[in-house]
Amino acid sequence: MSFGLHTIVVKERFKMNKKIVNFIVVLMVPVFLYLFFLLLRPASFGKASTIYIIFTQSFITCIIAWGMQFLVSMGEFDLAVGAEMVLDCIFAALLSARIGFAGIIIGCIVCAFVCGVIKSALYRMMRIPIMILTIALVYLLGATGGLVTNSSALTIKSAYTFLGRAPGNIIVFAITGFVVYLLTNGSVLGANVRAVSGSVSIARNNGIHVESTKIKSLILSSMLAGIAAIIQLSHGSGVTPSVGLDSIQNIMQPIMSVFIGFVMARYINIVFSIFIGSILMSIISNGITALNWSSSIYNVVVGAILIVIMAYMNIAEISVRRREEKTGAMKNMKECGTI
Amino acid sequence: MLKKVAALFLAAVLAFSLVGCSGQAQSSSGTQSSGASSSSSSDIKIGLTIYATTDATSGPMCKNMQAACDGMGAKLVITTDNQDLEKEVSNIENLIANGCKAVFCLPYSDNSIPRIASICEKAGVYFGFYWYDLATKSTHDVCYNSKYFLGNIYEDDVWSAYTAMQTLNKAGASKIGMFGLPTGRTTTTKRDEGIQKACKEYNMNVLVTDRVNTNTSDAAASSVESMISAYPNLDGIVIAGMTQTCLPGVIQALKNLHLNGKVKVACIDFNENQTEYFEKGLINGVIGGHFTGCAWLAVLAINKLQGTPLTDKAVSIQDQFIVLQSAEDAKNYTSYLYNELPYTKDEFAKMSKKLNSSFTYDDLLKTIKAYSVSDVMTRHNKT
Repeated sequence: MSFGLHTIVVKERFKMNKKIVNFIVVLMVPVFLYLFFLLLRPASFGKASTIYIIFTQSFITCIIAWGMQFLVSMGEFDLAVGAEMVLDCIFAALLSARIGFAGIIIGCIVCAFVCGVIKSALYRMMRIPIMILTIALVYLLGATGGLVTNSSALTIKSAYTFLGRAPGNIIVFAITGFVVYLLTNGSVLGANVRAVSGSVSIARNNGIHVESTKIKSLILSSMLAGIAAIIQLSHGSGVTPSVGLDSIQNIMQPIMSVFIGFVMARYINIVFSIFIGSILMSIISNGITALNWSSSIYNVVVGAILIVIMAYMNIAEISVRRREEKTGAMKNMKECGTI
Repeated sequence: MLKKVAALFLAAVLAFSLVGCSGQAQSSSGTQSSGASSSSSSDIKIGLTIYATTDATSGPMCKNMQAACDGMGAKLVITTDNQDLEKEVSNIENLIANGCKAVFCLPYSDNSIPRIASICEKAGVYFGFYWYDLATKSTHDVCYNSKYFLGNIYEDDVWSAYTAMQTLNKAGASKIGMFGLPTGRTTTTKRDEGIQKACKEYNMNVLVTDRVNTNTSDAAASSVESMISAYPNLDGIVIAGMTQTCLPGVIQALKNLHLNGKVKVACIDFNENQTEYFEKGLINGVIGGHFTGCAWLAVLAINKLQGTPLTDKAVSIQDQFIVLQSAEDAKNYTSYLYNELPYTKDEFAKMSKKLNSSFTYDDLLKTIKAYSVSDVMTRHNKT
């Protein structure tokens, strides 16, 4: 018995060590990238203030990515998030002009909720892929913002911008992260999302309502975009209506963060891995500025990383599927007595 | 059934939003005014495609052109293109289809000029450019070889950028972060040239340039944070365009970093909040107010279409910027050029040769050259 207990302790210690090792492996990625830029621009990257800027500039990207990850893991893309955020900021700016700071919170959250409900209702009625539905909504939401503001930019008072800097943005980010962690790992929604992302048919056969899961994820995506909009409006103190598909560009970084997060999720929790992905994006952005490279290079770098990640995920998926098929075939052959 | 209804509803909403996104096509008719007036019914229609219609630069631009059309007896149709090249070209086609006899635009790329010229020539419609200097030989030749080219109104963008940098130099800045316009346009080339000229003359140095993060306040704010983090000795920021969208973000970022007043700011193009920023010492200079160009094109076009052209040849006219370097400058500008119009409908009516046969092309050039805040105040008895 003492030998069995010793074995369990060793196994648990091994698991803990493995978790720590995995965490360190993932953490090394942004560290190495930071060191790369530090070597190239020690004057810029060798300061604590740069690390602070990198962290705080990742908050908005990360919160949006946290919201998107539920749908992306189920194979859906909500492309209207960027346009929603612009509309949230517009209503928040207009409301804050009337009722003060509370208008920013109420405007963003209420508008986000309404957008989420509209999206969900349309998805439920139309039953078309969310990506197609949200592309149409990008135009609608952009046009709504333009009509409401008469295509002019809006600003908020400087006194209302404290959630765009420390400690306001850090507090909002930390609370949001905690809630997302609970939703992802400790809620029925999180479990259902994992089940649907594994296999839709198996999840359905096990009594999980797939469409309901997607609808809840749509609303959650909008609500988190609303929270990101609060920080964004406070950070920039202004908002410009978006037109056409311009707002989709605003969610490219979050999408990248989600993909990087998925790759790293094999090693650490998805919530943290997405945060690491956002930090990577922020390091690249600041690195390009520090080196005074053309801002267009950022798009090239991000695009290249996206292709590498997609290729890696595709290859990994094919490899896993082949292994499963081979394992299934071997099992069948054994059962039939062929081998 | 519900699905079909929802599908139809969504399609209608999408169509509506596409119309909304393409901007409002505003039309107006010529109106009677006292003194020298045009005839009340006029079939002269001219069109304008512009990036927006309501900010601190585009709003006055449209109002002035409207006043010119109202005073001279013509209709004006305005469409917006959000700085999208393809949208701009399709707007031109739509304006021509709408019956416009002359169309005006700001080419977003030199490469678009042959296309625009071809479209207008095939339709037999006059065309012209505002805010655009035909500096390259190829584009110049394409336009001047066309009998439908009326002319272009341009500003001295080398001077405007040079003056913005000069303002920063006077304020004590020498290590500059720059927000620039996208490359591929003559305006960009000229402003970059002006900035480089000032750098050489005043021994200033552009440490970092951003040409991408200028369309939203938040992106501009993040860019400023990155600039300051990368170059802590940065002591000046020049915004060489898109001030309307990125200036609030720049100011906010400097506030968050407690650098207001320490990092000097100068910009090209006006912003709605500039008076407040001047009063609080957050900016050092703004160069803009170049929104009469379309009105001058309208004067040329309407005279031509009324059969009394001011000139037989296509023309290239330089109009003036306004420089604001204090809160008082900003307040005077707002009172006399923004809240009111620098040129009234009656003043524009006198620029119609049909109504005022003594008006000449030289008179137009004198009017354009005299444009300034003090000129407006003097003409409108506000001194």
